[in-house]
Amino acid sequence: MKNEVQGMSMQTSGNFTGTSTVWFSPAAGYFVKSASTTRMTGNVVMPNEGYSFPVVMDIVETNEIRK
Amino acid sequence: MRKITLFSAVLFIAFISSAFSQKNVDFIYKYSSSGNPVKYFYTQNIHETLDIQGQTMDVYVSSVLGCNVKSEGNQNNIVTLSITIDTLAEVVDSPQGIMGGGIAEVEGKSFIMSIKGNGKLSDISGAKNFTYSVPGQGQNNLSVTFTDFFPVLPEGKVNPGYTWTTADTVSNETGMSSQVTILNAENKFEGFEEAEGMNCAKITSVTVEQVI
Repeated sequence: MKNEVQGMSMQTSGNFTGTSTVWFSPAAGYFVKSASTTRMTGNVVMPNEGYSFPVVMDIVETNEIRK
Repeated sequence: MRKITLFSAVLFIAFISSAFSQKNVDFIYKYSSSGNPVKYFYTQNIHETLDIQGQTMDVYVSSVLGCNVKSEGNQNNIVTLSITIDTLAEVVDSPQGIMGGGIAEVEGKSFIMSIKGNGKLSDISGAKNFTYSVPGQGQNNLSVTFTDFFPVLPEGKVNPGYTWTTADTVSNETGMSSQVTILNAENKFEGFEEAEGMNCAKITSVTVEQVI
């Protein structure tokens, strides 16, 4: 992933592993809830500054209907 | 005795029919085009730990998205959806300070996207054209958020215990970032469970993604 933070170019790459669960209502025809946890281990490179350092990301996501 | 046996046989057939119809599920998205839209509330919390020359730096990113989803029609196994944004906020908390906040400019605005009957993305251009400014960060769009908003489901009728694999490569580009994701997942239809007061099919997945 390439992005720019406060004027500095950054490249993040790595592997994500995780688990997710989806609850889908066949009668309604849409998902009611989803939840996932993911861990990424990789590297961040700042090519213009010549820096490279390891990164670990823990990501928790939920998505659910509101009635 | 014969009456009891016949009654038992009828009950048994009814039970088997009921169990069969309950188990055999056709996973198809079919949001309603009339009536109330489906309201979703999505949250994402990221804890990023960077090791910079032996020094640990923690960064926390929190995002919330509230939206309404309504069908605009279903043709040739393509479901066209109208998405209206209720709430969108993104906050980054790092040693440099706190950036971001609520993004009021998107509230109440809509875009069109389409998915296949099983949830696989068909057209994301509406989300890509939906641009907004994140305070202190720059221009962004909704394509990354909505690329995997609708979980991809198995095709055809399946029973609990069914397993399948997913392999996909997705490219995304916003004003702030670009990324390619290679996704592999092992999925299982676990059975039925109540969620939010509705009878739902529960699907679990173990995912491995490579981000380039």
